[in-house]
Amino acid sequence: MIRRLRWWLIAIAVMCVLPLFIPLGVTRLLVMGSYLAIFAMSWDMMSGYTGYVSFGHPFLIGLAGYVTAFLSHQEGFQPPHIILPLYVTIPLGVAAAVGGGMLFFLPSMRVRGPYFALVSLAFMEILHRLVIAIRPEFTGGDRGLPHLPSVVMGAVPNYYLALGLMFAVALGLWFVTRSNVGNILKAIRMDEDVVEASGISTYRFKRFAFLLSAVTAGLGGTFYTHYLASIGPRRAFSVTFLLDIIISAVLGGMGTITGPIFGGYFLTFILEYLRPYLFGQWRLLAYALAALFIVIYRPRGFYGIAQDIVKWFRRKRIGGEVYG
Amino acid sequence: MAKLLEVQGLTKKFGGLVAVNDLSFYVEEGEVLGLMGPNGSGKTTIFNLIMGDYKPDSGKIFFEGKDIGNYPTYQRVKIGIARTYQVPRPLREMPIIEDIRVSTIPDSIIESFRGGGAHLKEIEKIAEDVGLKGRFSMYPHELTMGDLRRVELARALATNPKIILLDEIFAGLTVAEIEEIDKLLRRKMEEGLDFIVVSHDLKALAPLVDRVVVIHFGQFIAEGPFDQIVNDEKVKAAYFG
Amino acid sequence: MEQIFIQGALLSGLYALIAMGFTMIFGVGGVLNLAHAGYVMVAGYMYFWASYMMGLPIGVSFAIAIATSTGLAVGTYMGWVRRFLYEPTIVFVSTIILALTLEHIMTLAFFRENINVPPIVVGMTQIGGYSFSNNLIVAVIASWICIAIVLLFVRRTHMGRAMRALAMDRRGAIISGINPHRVNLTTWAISGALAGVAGIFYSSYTFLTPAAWVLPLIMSFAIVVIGGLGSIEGTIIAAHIVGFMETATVLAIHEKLRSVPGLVIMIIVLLLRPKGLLGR
Repeated sequence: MIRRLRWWLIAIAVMCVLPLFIPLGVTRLLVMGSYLAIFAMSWDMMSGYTGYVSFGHPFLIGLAGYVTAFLSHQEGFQPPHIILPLYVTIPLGVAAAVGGGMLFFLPSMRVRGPYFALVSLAFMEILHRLVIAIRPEFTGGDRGLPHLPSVVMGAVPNYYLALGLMFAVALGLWFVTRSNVGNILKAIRMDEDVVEASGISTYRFKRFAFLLSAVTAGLGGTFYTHYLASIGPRRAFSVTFLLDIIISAVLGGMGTITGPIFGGYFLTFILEYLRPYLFGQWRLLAYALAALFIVIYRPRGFYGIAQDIVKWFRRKRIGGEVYG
Repeated sequence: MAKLLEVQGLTKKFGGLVAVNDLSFYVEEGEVLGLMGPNGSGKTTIFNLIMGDYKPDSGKIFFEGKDIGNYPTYQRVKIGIARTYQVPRPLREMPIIEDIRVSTIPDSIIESFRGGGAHLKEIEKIAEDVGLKGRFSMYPHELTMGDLRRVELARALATNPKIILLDEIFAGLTVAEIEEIDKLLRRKMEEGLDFIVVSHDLKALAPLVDRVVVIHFGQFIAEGPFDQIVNDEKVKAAYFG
Repeated sequence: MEQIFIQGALLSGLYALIAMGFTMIFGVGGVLNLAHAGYVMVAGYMYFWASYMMGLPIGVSFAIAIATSTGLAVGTYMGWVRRFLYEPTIVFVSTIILALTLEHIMTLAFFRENINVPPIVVGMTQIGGYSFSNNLIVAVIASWICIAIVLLFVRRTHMGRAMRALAMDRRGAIISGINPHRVNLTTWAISGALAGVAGIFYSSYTFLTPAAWVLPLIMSFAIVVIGGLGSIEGTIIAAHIVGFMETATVLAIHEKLRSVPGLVIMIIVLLLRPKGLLGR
């Protein structure tokens, strides 16, 4: 444990000083990566730990983003033309994510299995349609809402903001997984009936995991929206966005903390750096195929690969069988 | 003696198949009931109904006099009913000591965070009690069937039950393992625990049970002390045709 | 008004074809194949390519399209789903990635623009004072023929009964001597074929675009939930409910809100009667 902690502290230190040494473009990429990491961790909190795969994260993120955008928009919340300050709109956005999330959590928990994913996906689709069709003069319709205020300006301040947010989320996640609550969640993924038969209301614990997931999605969604200073339905409610999040978490390693973080950065950078080499669609195709292979052959993602490497080293040192 | 657990008129159909048919029986405090019947006679279904995994089509289930028909499974466990599974269902990716720990975690988010639930020492004691000493950090795939059944038992015991439903606890065990489990169960009986034991192994069942209920095709066939039952004509007909 | 009727019938028929394949895979295999709607989209493109870009006769084009979707389905099953029948999470995530992969492949081949596929059968017919496009009529009839064939197959043939047995009680069916692998393979193949037929007609009903798999996928879920998992009859009924509601919404309310009523009904069903209309 202590050894792990040392690595974490080194990583944090490195990331704190990084902006001094790298070009602004890379800093901006790191900001995007940090937000993707937050979303990936948020998704993993529900789907990776309890096994209830959620396709509703764009819904949560988009809902939070739209609420904060709506209320802090340049034109104000029409018709009263009230513009609310960010320290009001952001919590409201997070609250919206939680409230909206409960809307699809509740019905899908009455049935088991894959229903949760389906219902969450349905909600994403419904919100997508509603945002476009209902009152487009408020929601910006197809084009979305531009010209939103920022929390901080500039790449470097945003870098630290995103980084701080990410570490906060990671810390919270760490705290949960080490606890008995984390044990229960993992057990639910393994065999939910057995957990029920151990005297635990799985519904209660699933709801808690979902709440955490929704709160972090809301936090990430609101800050992200203000970083981009705009929001639009095609980007926010797309299957591509959903898959970016899922692939980040899966690639990095579901059910871990470092996994989604690594996956978030990895995906952001790889998409960017492949740009000159693989043109357009080929890039997307390549990463989709890579994701496919990893999911099938190495479900634990890069985290699993890293573990394998560590095990291989240990075996070399002991020179014999590795136990346990 | 007061009735601890009682089922009345329990019926469960799956499509066209009647798994349990108007079954009634009870377990008194301090006694061990044997549930016997040929394969497919519905014994596991009965356990599932008692635990709340299925909802009966008709009939009632009483525990300590209360109608628990509407209680969700975890609630039934909390009031004192536990079970083991016919095919052990350990938590695959956890060392068995963690598996047992899960059964001790309280049903509350806040309490769980505060570190509620048993201390490691207490969990280790439960594991030792069932004979798993020295294997605490092993994984299910590394254990024998006998040990897996012990884990099941430890899990059930960890919930502080008043009665445990044992589903074929002797199946797949060597004679030596059966003897050990037998001794363990008798020790628990002396400590005041009740059981309903389902088993094909009549020899293993005999020394444990006070009374036996025999079912066939989900229906009540006979009931009585063990020696009387094995000589009963109807029971013989059910088993041997 | 009559527009709603005929278009609703068509959409319902197509949805029924797609959803039936989807629910069969889930009933028999216990997994959700999220790439299913992707096969529909690919089949549509294959038909377009074969008949309009290569100029092949209709029959051959049909065959190519259906063969492609069936091949994809079988490939998905044999390729990896077979190994992960007890890991629904992996099947989930991998099949949706597969769907996205298919989308990318189609985009590379055919670009992102919406393709308007010319009708398969041209002309209009007069029925009872209203005129309907022949294409729509043929499509409705074709999908109904397929639905009828599948119903007959499931009810009458040995394999059909094996499928139902496997869906009802996996262990019992295996003990009775049913080979789950072969039954699963057949199920996937059939659902692939159904997706193919649906794809051909779907492409002429609405325009063709690589991202066209998302909406049918979501609606298939809704249909399967409403009708009840494991019930083919329920799926057919639900497909019609959803199909007609969507058509009515598009024609009478707002085109962009097409999916909302169906999804709302799905949520209501989940709240009030989680098993669905005819689910077990």
